[in-house]
Amino acid sequence: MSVVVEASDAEAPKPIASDERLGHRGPIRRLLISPEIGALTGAILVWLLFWSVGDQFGTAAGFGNSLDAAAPIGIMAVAIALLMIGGEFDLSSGAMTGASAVMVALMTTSWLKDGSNIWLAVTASFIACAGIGWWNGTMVNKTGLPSFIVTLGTFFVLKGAKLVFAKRLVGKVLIGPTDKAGGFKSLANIFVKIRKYQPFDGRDKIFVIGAIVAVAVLIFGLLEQSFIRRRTARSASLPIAAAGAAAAAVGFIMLLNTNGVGNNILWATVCLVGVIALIVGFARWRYVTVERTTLVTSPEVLKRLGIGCVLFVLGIVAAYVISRHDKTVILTFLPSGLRVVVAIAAGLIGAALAGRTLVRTLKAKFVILAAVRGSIMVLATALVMSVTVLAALELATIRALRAGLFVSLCILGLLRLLSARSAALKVSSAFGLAVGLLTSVAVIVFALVVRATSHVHRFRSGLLCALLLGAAFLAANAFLESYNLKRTVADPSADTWGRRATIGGAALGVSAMLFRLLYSGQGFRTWVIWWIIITIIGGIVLNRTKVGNWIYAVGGNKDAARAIGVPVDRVKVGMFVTVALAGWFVGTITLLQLKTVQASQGDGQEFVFIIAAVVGGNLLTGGYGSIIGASLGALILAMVSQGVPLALWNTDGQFIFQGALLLAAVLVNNFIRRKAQEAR
Amino acid sequence: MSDSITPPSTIDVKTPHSESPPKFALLELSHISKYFGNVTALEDISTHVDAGAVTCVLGDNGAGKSTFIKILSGVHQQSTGDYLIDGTPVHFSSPRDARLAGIATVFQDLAMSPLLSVWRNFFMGSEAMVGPFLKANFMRNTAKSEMKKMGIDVRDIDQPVGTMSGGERQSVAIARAVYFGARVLILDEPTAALGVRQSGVVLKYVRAAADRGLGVIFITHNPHHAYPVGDRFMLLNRGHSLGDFAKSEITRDELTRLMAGGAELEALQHELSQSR
Repeated sequence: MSVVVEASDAEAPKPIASDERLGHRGPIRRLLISPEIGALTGAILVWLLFWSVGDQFGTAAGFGNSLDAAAPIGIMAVAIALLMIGGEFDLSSGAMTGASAVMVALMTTSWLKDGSNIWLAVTASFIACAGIGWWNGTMVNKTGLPSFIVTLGTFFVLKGAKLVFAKRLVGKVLIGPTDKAGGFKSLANIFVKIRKYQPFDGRDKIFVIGAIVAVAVLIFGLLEQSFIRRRTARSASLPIAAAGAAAAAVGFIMLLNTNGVGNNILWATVCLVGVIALIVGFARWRYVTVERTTLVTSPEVLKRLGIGCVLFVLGIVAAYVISRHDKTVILTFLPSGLRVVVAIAAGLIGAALAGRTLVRTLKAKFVILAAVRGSIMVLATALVMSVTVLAALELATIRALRAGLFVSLCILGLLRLLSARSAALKVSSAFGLAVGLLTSVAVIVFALVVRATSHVHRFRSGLLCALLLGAAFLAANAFLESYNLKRTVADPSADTWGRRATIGGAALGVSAMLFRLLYSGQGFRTWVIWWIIITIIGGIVLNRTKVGNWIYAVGGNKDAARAIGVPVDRVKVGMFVTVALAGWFVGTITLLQLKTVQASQGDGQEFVFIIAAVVGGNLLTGGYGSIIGASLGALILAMVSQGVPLALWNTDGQFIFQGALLLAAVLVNNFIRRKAQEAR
Repeated sequence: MSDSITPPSTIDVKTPHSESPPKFALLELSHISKYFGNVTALEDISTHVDAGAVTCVLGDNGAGKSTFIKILSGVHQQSTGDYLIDGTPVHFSSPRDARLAGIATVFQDLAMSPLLSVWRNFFMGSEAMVGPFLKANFMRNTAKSEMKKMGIDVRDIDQPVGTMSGGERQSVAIARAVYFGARVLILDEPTAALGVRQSGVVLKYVRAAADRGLGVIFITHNPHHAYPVGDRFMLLNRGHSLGDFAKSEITRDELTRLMAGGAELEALQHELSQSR
C-alpha cells in the first residue's frame, strides 16, 4: 500500500489535464453534451422555421425586434435559472415585475407629484422588492414548505395589493403617465432608449471578411481537436493548399465582380473547389494521414446507400411530377370512396403500431386488465391516426403535398446517405470517400432543384448559397476523414489551442454578425445591452465564483451542502432576493418603456420566465443548468412571439407553440443529460 | 491545529505527525458512558487510536455504534468518562468544534451533490479563490493529485460524482477529509452498501489514509473487512465493550466468533446441522 503512496508522493503535482484511459471526446461530441445545446439547436430551428415562412423575419429589423422582446424575458430568465439551479422556484416573479412598475408609477403619480424625482421612487421600490425577495427566501427556509407554495402565496398577495393600491390611490387600474416626473428622461436614456447607428456602407465588406476569418479559425480549431499532429510536416501537400487558396481567392473576387448566372456558377465552383483543396491540402500537410487503401465495399452499407439514393431520387421526382401551382385541397380531389380507404388505412397502420407493443407486453405476461387496456390503446391510436390523416388531407393542398414529399423524402434520403457514409468509413477509407462525395453531390442536386422549382426569393438565393456551402464542407469532410487519421486520445496542448480557436472563431463570427446588424440602420433598445451584461455576469457568478458553487451544491443536495459547511439558508435567501431584484429591474424598465402601466402588469409572466429557463436546459429539480441557455430560451420565446404574427399565423397560436416547445425542450434536455452522464 | 480547516496554500505532501514520538494516543476514550434518561446507550467504553493506525469498532445492529460515532463527532456529549486528544481532555459542543479539532466524520450518506463534478464536490464549502473567482484549475489539479495520493486514480475530474460507484464516492469523501486537515478520520460503515470488490477498494483507501499519518476509526459490523486493515479492535455489544485488543492479541477467527455472539453462533450452527 505504502508503495502506491510513495510513488505518487514522489512526483510533484503537475497540471493533470488528461488521462490516458479517458476516451478522447471530439469537439462536436463535447458540444452535444453541454446543457445549452438544446436551447442552441432550438433557437436555430425556430429561426429557420420563421425565416422560411415569414418575409419580414430574418431581416435585420426582424432580428432587432426579437432582441427587444427577448431582453426583459432574458433578464428574468437569468435570475430564475440561478434560482432553479439552486433547487427552488419563484411563482411570484411575474407579479414582482408588475409590482415594481406599479410601485414606481403610483409613487410618481400620486405621492411625489410632478417635478419630483423618479429616482426616489425607483430606490424605494428597490428596497421593497428586495424585502419581498427576502421574505420569500426566509419563509421557505423557516417553514420548510415547498417554494412553490410560498411564492404562490406571494404572487396572489402581490396581485391583490397592486389592484387595491391602484384603486385606492389613483382610482383606476391604469396608472400613469409617468413621463412627467423628474429624472424620467435620464433613466429612460440609460435603459430603454432606442439606439440606432447610421447605416455604414462598408459593413457588408467587414462582415464578409470577419465571417471568412471566423470560419477559417473555427475550422482550424476543429481540425486541431480532431486529428493527430505530424511530427514533421509533409511539404508535398503544401502546393495543393496554396493552389486551393489561390483558386478560392480568385473565385471569390471574380464572383463579386462579375454578373450573370453562367459567370456566377463558374466562379462559385472555382471558389468552393479552392476552399476544399485548401482545407484538404492543409490537413494533409499538418496531420497524420492514412495509408492508401483499396476500395472495399460491404453489401450492408451498399444496401443502406441504395435506400438513400432511391429515397432521394423519389423526392426529386415528386418535385417535378406534382404540380407546384395547384392549390386544390387534396380531400376534394380524392373521390369519397378513396377517402374512406385512406382513413381506414391510416387507422390500420396506427392499430398495427400500437398492436406491436401490445403483443410484446402480452407475451411477457398475459393479464386480462393489460389486454383490455391494450385493446383500448390500439383503438385510440387507430382513431387518432385516421382523424389526423383526414384533417391533414382536409388542410393540405397539392402544392403543400409536393413540398412536403420533396423536402421530407430528400432529407430522409440524405440522412440515409450520411449514415451510409459513416458506416462505409469503417469498411474502408476509399469507400467512405466515395460515399461522402456522392452525398455532397446529392446536396448540390437538391440545392439546384430547390432553386429551379421554388418561387420564394430567399429560397432561391439564401438557401441555395447555404446548401452549396454545406455541400462543399461535406466534400471537404469526406476527404479529411478518409485521408487523415482521427485522434482517439486526448492531446492537452492541441486540445487547448483547438478549443481556443473554435471558441474564438465562433465569437468572431457572432461579433461580425452583430456588427452588421448594428450598422444596418435598425435600432434596438438599450436594454438589450443590459440583458447581455446581466447574462455574462450571471454566467460568471454561477461557474467561476464561490457563490455559484454553493448554488450548484444547494440545488444538487441541500443536506450534503449544509453538512459540509455551505450556508444553505443564506444562499437561498440570496437567490430569492436576486430574483426579486431582477423583477424590480425588469418592472422599472417596462414602466420606462410603456410610461403607463396596468395594475395587472406582469401577472402570469412567471411561466414565460420559467419556460425560458427550462428550454435553456435548466433542471427543474436543481443542481444542473446554464445561464446562457436561459438567455437563449428567452430569445426563442421572443422569436416565437415575433415570428408567429409575421408568418401571418393566428397569434393566439403562439401559446400552443410555447407549450409544445416546453415539452420538447424538457425531453431533449433529459436525453442530453442522460447522454452526458453516459459519455463520461 | 487551529488553522487545520483551511486548505494549505500550496500542495505539499502532508507530513505525518511523527516528528516527535507520541507520548499520548492521538485520540483516547477513557471509560465513556452515555445515558439517555434511564436508557443506557454506552457503558464504560475505552479505546484509543494512534496516528497512522486504524482502530476498528465492531458491533452488530443496536450495539451502540451510532451513539459512539455521535460522541466522537461532537453530536452528543458523553455522560461520564473522558474524551482526550493528545492526552488533554476536550469537550465538543457541536460537530463544528470536532471538525476544527481535526476530527472528520465520513457518514454513510457521504454529503455529496450527485450532479456536480468531482472537483466541485471535493472543494464544496471550502473553495480556493483568487479574489472573487474560483481557482478552477488549481482545484481540479489538487483534487486529482490528492485523490492520487490516496491511491485513487480518477479518470475524469470533471465527471459528475453521481456517475461514480459507491466505493469511489467513499474515496472522494475520505480524500476530501484528509486534504482539509483531518487528524482523525471516523468512517461510518463505509463498506456497508458495497460489493466485495468495491469494499476491497475502500479498505485500501482506509489503509492509505492511515499510512499518511491519520488516526482512523473504522466502524463496521463486518470482521472480515475490519481484520485486514485494523491495528486495534474494539467490540461493542448492547452498549458494553467486549474488549479492546491489539492485532497481536486476537486472531480473525476469534474476532469473528466474538463478533457473532460467540457461543450463540455455535449453538445456532449446531441447531442447523441437527435440523438438516
